[in-house]
Amino acid sequence: MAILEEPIKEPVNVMNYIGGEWVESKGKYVDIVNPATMKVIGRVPRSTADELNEAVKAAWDAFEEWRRTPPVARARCLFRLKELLEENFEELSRIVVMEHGKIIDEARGEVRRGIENVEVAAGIPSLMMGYNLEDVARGIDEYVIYQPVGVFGIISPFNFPFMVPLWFAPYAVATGNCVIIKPSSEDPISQMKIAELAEEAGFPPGVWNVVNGGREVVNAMLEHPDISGVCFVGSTPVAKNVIYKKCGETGKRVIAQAGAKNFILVMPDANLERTIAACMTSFFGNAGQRCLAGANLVVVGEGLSEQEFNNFYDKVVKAFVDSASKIRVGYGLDESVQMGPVRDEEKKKRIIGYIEKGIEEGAKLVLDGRQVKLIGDWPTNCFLNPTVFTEVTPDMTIGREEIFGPVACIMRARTFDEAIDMIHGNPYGNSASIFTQSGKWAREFRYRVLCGNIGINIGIPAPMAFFPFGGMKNSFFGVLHGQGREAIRFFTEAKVVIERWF
Amino acid sequence: MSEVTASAIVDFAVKLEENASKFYKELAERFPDKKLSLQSFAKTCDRNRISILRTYQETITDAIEAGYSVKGVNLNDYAVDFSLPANISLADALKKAADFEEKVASLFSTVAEQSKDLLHTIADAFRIAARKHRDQKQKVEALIGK
Repeated sequence: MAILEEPIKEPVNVMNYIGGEWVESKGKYVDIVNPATMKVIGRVPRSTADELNEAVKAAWDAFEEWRRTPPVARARCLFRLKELLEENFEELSRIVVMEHGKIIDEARGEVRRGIENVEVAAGIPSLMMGYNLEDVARGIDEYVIYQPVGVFGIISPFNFPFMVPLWFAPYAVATGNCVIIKPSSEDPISQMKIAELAEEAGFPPGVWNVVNGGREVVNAMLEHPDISGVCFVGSTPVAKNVIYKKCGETGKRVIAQAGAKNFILVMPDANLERTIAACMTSFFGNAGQRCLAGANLVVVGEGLSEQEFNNFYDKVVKAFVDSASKIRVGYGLDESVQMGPVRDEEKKKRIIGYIEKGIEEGAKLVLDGRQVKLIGDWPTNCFLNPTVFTEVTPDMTIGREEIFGPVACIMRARTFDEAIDMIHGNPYGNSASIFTQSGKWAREFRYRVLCGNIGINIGIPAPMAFFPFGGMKNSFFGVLHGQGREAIRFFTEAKVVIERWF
Repeated sequence: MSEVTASAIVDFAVKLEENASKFYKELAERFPDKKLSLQSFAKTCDRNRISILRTYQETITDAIEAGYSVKGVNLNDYAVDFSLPANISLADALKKAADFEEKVASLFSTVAEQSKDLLHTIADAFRIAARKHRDQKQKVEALIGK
């Protein structure tokens, strides 16, 4: 099948957007590589701490005027941004494919989810309303008003370069704050494009800023006394030991979404055909680089005899492996392709390390994705095919740690309770799903499982924009979450007014 | 069994509708006495295109979650020749139109049927577009008979 036209013809010179100006960084520039073709598609700067400081100043300069802008006028900026994102929907989706590697359907899905957050935040005149009670004492009224806090930093991961900053930024600016986005330096081009559209949508200079870079920018953001809060999505060690800790020390608000090891239970009464179809996109979609990706498939033998359980396990494994082996891997702009490359060679090496560890620890490798078979003639540097292990136990490294790649671990649990114990034995708590026709098991699962996002016959339980994006245990550090009403609360101060007139 | 991704099937359908619309618009220019009917056929194709594309773009995340794809359909079997030779008569052009209306309706019905359990919103968009093409085929045939 023909490759869709690439929107990036020449390498993009990624710039910072500070105080309404596009500025060249003084930092060192590094290449941005399309992981499918290995061609350089741009250059991104490692900006300096001084440049971050300039952005903080520009944001505070804009803050006073922006917070006084009526919510309905701020909402209009968001409506215009939504329209511009829709107009550029296809181009943005293809940029995401080129900078990240995911397939075009996944990129369009990512762009859609991003836009949905802009849509929800545009309802700010209603969402930001406070509440009141007359006569809390005779002749005295009391009410709560929500006010913006100041300037927020948003630190984004590589796996959803377009969408993740939009879990936060639309709500932050809608509530009257200003933002500084630090995109992942691996795939920052779509964020530059969004900033161009934000400028066109009429956000005043300094309200929406982008500073590219790495650790120096992050550290400067965390240390800066005038950054009111930080939103972060990334690995657990960084979320816990750097972001959450530092924000605590410096008194910043924080949302730190972290790693995951997601379990999917298949009960004996599950609709197997639909379950396997959902599992394919859960385990191998986005090449497994998704914090809601299925990682451990637990076949549960509740109510079955030993022989029946073995037969059921074999049936699930066969269907899963058959489907996984048929997944077509290649360049995401080829519409016939179902899985793209992982983001870079280092990540591929890390995933292969896990596969080798799995073999070493005694898991059975039934589908080896290291033997790369591609649709089309592409350099294999970043490609892997789906990998499936069976006879995995929760204590094995591959059953315990986040692999963040297209590797599925199939496990056995004799009973439902044993399966729940497996989930709870893992330090992460991002998501878990169950496939069953039984309302009883579904309810038990929903009620008992300690995970922030629960799927009932859903392989990727990704919350819509008007719901918070959950996460428990080592998958989340903070109190309030991104998206929806919780984001509104995170980006505002609740001020209580008690009033009496003599 | 061949498996067609959501993106591939929608892209193919959108191109069919675009080309069918162009076909009717070109015909309307050539045969002004049937302009109104031919333009209305083009408009139906345009509306179908918008409806399919919008449904897809708005529900793409659901499509991904459900693993939306269509099995057992070879898109090459539904390739349509939309060319209009310079000297083609209206009757011959309309016969050609009736043929492709049937072909497009058949593809859309198959897609709708095979994907209805996965994601009914996209299946519904195809089902409705298939019905409109079948209705349009009858109108085209009626025009030939006139």
